[in-house]
Amino acid sequence: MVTVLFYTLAAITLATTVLCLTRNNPVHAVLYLVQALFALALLYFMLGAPLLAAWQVILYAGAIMVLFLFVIMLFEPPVADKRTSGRLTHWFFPVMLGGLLLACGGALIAMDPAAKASLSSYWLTPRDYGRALFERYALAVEIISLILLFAAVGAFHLGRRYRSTTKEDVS
Amino acid sequence: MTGDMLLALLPLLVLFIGSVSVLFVPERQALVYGVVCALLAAVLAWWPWLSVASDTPLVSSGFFARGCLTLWALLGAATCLLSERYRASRQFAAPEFAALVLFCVFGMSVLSASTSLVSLFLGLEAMTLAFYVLIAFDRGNTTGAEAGLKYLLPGFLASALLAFGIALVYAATGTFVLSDTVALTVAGASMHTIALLGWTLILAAIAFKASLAPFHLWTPDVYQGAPAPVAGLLASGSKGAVFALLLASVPLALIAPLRPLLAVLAALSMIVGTFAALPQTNLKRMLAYSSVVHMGYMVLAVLTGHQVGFEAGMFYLVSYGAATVAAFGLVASLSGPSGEPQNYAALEGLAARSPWRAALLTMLLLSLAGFPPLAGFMGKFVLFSAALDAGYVWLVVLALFSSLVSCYYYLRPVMRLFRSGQTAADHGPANGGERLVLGLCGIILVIAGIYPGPILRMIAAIVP
Amino acid sequence: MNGLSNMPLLSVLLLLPLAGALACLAWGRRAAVVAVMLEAVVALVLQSGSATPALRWIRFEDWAWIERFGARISLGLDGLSLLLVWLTVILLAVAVGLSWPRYRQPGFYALLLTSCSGILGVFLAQDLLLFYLCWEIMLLPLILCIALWGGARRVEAAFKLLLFTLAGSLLMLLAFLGLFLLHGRQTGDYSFALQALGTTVIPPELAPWMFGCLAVAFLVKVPAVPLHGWLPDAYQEAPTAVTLLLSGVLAKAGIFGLVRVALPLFPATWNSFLPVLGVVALVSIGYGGWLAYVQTDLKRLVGYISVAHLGFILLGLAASNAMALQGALLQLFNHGIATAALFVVVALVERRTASRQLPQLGGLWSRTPQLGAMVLFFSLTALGLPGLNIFIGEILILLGAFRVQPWWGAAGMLGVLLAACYTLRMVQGILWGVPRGPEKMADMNRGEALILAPLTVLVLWFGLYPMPFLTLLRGPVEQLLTHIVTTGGLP
Repeated sequence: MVTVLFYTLAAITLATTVLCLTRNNPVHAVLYLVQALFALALLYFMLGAPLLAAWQVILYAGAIMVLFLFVIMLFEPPVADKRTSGRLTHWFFPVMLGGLLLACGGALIAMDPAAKASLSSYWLTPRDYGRALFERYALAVEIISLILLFAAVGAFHLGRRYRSTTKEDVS
Repeated sequence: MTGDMLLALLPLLVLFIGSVSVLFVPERQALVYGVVCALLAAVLAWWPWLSVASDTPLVSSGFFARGCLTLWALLGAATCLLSERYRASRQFAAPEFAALVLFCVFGMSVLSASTSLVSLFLGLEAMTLAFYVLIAFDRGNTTGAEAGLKYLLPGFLASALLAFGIALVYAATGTFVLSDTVALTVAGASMHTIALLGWTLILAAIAFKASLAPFHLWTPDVYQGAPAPVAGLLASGSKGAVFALLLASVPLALIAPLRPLLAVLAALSMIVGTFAALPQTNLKRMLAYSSVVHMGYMVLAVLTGHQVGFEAGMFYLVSYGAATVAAFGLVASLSGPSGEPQNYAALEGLAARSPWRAALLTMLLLSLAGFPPLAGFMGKFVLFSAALDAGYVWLVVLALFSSLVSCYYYLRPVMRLFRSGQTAADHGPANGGERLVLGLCGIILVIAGIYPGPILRMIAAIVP
Repeated sequence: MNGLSNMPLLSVLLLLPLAGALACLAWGRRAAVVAVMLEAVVALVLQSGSATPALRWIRFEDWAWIERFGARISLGLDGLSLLLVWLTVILLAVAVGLSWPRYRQPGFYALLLTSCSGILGVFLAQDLLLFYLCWEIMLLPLILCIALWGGARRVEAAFKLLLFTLAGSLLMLLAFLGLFLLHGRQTGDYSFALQALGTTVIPPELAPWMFGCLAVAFLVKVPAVPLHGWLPDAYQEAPTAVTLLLSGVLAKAGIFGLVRVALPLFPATWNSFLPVLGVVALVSIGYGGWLAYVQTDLKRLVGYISVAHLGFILLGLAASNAMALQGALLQLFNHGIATAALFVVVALVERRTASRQLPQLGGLWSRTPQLGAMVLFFSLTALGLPGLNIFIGEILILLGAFRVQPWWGAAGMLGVLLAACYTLRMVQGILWGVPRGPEKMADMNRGEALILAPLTVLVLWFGLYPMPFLTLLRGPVEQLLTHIVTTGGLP
C-alpha cells in the first residue's frame, strides 16, 4: 500500500512539474506548481516528517504561491480564452490530478504513517526545530537573512535601471 | 552565541555592517567607504586578541580562515578602488556597488572558512548572488545584462547540483561537518556509493564555479560582459575562495575514487582552455580561457592531497590573483566613454600613449605565461614540483606543454601593444586608486617571483 | 686590494646590469654606457680575489633564498666562468656601441642589459633553480628585442625562437624537478645545489630520459644541427646587437650548460652519449658549412659559419680528453669574439651598401680599404688561419679528436677545408669583383674603429699567446676529467 502510494505521489509530482514548465498561461503553471508542492508535502508526511510536510504546505503552497498568483494578476492578468474555457478537456486533467492528491492524502491520514513508513521516523516538535535553528544554526539563519536582503538590494538596483535609462533617452 | 564567538567572527561582522551601512553613504564617498570597511575587516582579522577567541559554529576562525578573509577583503578593496572611473563616467550606483562587493567578500570568506556543508552552501550562494547583480551592474553596457543571465542560469544548475550532493552526502554520513563527512566517506560509510555520488555532484557544482572544463562554457561571455573590476574579482576571488575551500577543508583527493575525476577535470581544463584561448582577439575572453587553464593547474594542487601541495596551491592563487586583478584593473583604467578596450586592435600603440601601463600589462601577461623571474613562474614551479612529487607525472607534462603553448596567446596582445597604432586614446591618465592597486600588484608579482621565501613562510603558517 | 676579495663582487656583477636597465628607463640610454663601464671594471677586478688558487673557486658567494625548496643564491666563479664573464661583458659593450647610432629608445638598452644579467647568472649559478631562472631571463629580453626592433618578419622569427627555446627549457625544468625530488627522497635533504645533486643515485631507466631532456634544452640553444630550426630567421631578422649576443654568448651558454650541468649530474650517461654528440658535431660542421656556402644573405651566412664552428666545440666535448676539452673551452671565448666581429663587420658593410645580399655587393676594397681590411682579417680568423685565435682552438680540438677517434679528426679536417671555401667566397663577394652599390661611401669612422679595435687585439692575443688563458682553464678541465674518469673512464 505504502509503495503504491509513494509511486503515485512521485508520478503526480513529476507530471505536475512538467506541466508547470510547459504551460503558456502563467496562472495554470502556478496552479500546477501548487499541486506539485502538495504532492511533495504528502511524500514528506509519508516518510515520517509531518512537521516538514506542514511547513511545505504553509510556506510554499500557501504563502509563496499565493504571492506568485497575486503578482501575476497584478501585472499581467491572462486573457481568458472563451472558446476553450468551458470544455471538458480543459478542466478534466487538473481536477483529476487534484482528486488523486486528495485521495492519497486521505489514505495516508487513514493509516498510521509512522508505523508503516519504510524509513524510521523521527518525530520533531516545532520546539526542537526552533532550538536547532536558532542555536546551532543561528549563524546560518543570519546568513540566509543577509542573502535575502542583498537579493532585494540587487533586484532594486536592476529594476531601477530600466526607468533611469528611459529617463536618459527622454532627455 | 557567546561574546567570544562574536569576537571571533568580528571581521565577518565588520563586513556585514559595512555592506549594510554603505547603502546610506552618499554616492561620492561610497566606494571609499567600501574600501575602508574591507581594509578594516582585513586588519581586524589579525587583531591580537582575536587569536584566543573560542571555536565558532559553522565557520572556522582559524588562521587559514583569517588569511583567506584578508585576501578576499584586499581583493574587494581593489575592486572598489578600480571602479572609481566607472562611477565618475557613467550612471553607476556606487553605494549599491560597494555594498554588493562587500557582501561578495563576506560570502567568499564564509565559503573559504566553512567547516560544515551548510555554511559551504550558504557562502557559495551569498557570493554567487552578489555576482549575479555585480556582473549586470553597468547600465550603459548592453552585454552586461546578458552576461548576468549567463552567470545566473549555470549558477542555478550548480546550486541544484550542490544541494542534491549535500543531501546525498548527509544521507550517507549523517553529519554536516565537513571533516567528518570526508573521514566517514574515506572510511567507507554504510552507503558508500551514495556518498560518492554526492561528492561527485558537489565536485560538479564546484567545477561550475571554478570554471573547470567541461563546466566552463559560461566563463568567456560573462568576463566579456561584466565590468572589468568585477570580472577581476570574479576571476581571482570567487575561484580562489572555491579552491581555498578545497585545499583547506575538503581534501577531496583523500577520497580515492574521486582522484581520476579530478585528474580528468584538470587535464580537460588544460587542453580545452589552451586551445580555446589560441584564436581569441579579445583580451577579456582570452583571460577567461586562460583562467580555465590556470584552474586546471590548481586542481593539481588539490590532487596532491598533502600539506606542501596545498601551500603551493595557495601561493599559486596569490600570484594568479595579483596578476588577474591587475590585468582587469588595467582594462578598467583604460576604459573611456566608449567602453573598455577589449579587442587587441584597441590596445595597439598603447606603449606610445601610456608606456607604464603598457609595460605593466606586458609584465602581467608574462607572469601569467609563467616567465621567470615573475610570480607566475615561481607559482608554477612550486605547484608542478608538488604535483610531480605526488606522482602525477603525465599531468605535469601536460601542464608544461600547455604553458608552452600559452606563450603564444599571452604574447599576441603584447606584440600589439608596441606596434604603432592610430587609435586615438579616449582614456585619461590613471587615477590615484588605480595607480595604488596596479603598482601594488606589480610589486607583489616581482617580489613573489624573485624572493618568494617570506610569502611561502606566511602561507605555511596558515595552511592547516 | 684585500678589501676586494671580501666584497660580494659576483652579486654586484649580477645586479649591476639590472640596475642599469632601471636607470635606462628612468634617465635615458646614457645610463647604459655607465652601467657597461662599471660592469667592465667589476669584471676586471674579479680575479684579484684569487689568493687561493688551489681551491676550485676563484670566488664563491652564497645567500639564502627560498628555504622552503632548499634553493640558495650560490654563485661560483672559476676559470671557465671568468673567461665567459669577460666575453659577455666585452660583447655587451660591442652590442651597445654598435646599436648606439641606430636605436634611440632606452627600452632597447634596458632589455640588452637585463639579458646580460641573465647570461652572467647562467655562467655563475651553482644552484639549479637560479640557473633556470637566469636561463629564462637571458632569453626573454632578446626575444622582445627581436619582436620589437627586428626586420620585416620579426614577429614570426621571435615566436619561432621562443617556441624552440622555451620547449627546451621546459624540458630542462622537468629534469631539474625530477632530480630535485629524487635527491630529496633519497637523502631527505631537498636542495637545488648543483654540488649536492651530483651525488644523487639516478635509476638507470630514468637517467637517459632526464639527460635527454637536458641535452635537448642545451643543444637547442647552441644550436646543434637537428635543433637549429629557429636560427636562420632569428639571426636574419634580429637587430645586429641581438644576433651578436645570440651567437656570441647564448650559444656558449648552451655548451656551458652541457659541461657544467649535464656532465656532472649524469657522468655515466654522458659517456654513453659521447658517440651521439660526436655525430651531431660532425653533422653540424658539415651541414652548417654547406649551408654557409650556399647562402647569399650575409647575416645568414655568418650564422651558419657560427653553427659550423660550434660543431667543432661540440666535437671537442665529444672527444672528452684533456687536450680536446681545453681546446673546446678556449674556443668558447675565441668563437664568441670571432663571430661577434664578423657580425659587426657585416653590419658596417650593410650600413654603407644598404644591402646584405652577396649578389648586390662587390668591389668594396677599392672604396673602403680600412673596412675591407677588417672584413678580410676577421674572415681569415674564421677560416682558421694560424696565428689567429680560432686556429688555436681548432687545432687543439682536432688533435684531441684524432686520439679518440681518428675518423672524427679526419672529418673535422674536411670541415676546415669547407671553411676555406665559404669564407673565401664571402670575402670575394664583398671585397672584390665588379663594384656595386653607391659610388662614394665613407670609410670607417672613429666610433666604428673603436668597436673593432679591442676585438682585433683579442683575436691576435689569443692567437699568438693563449698560454695565460689555458692556465686559467686547467682547473675546470681537470674537474671535468675527474667526473668523466671516475665513472667509466675514457672512451
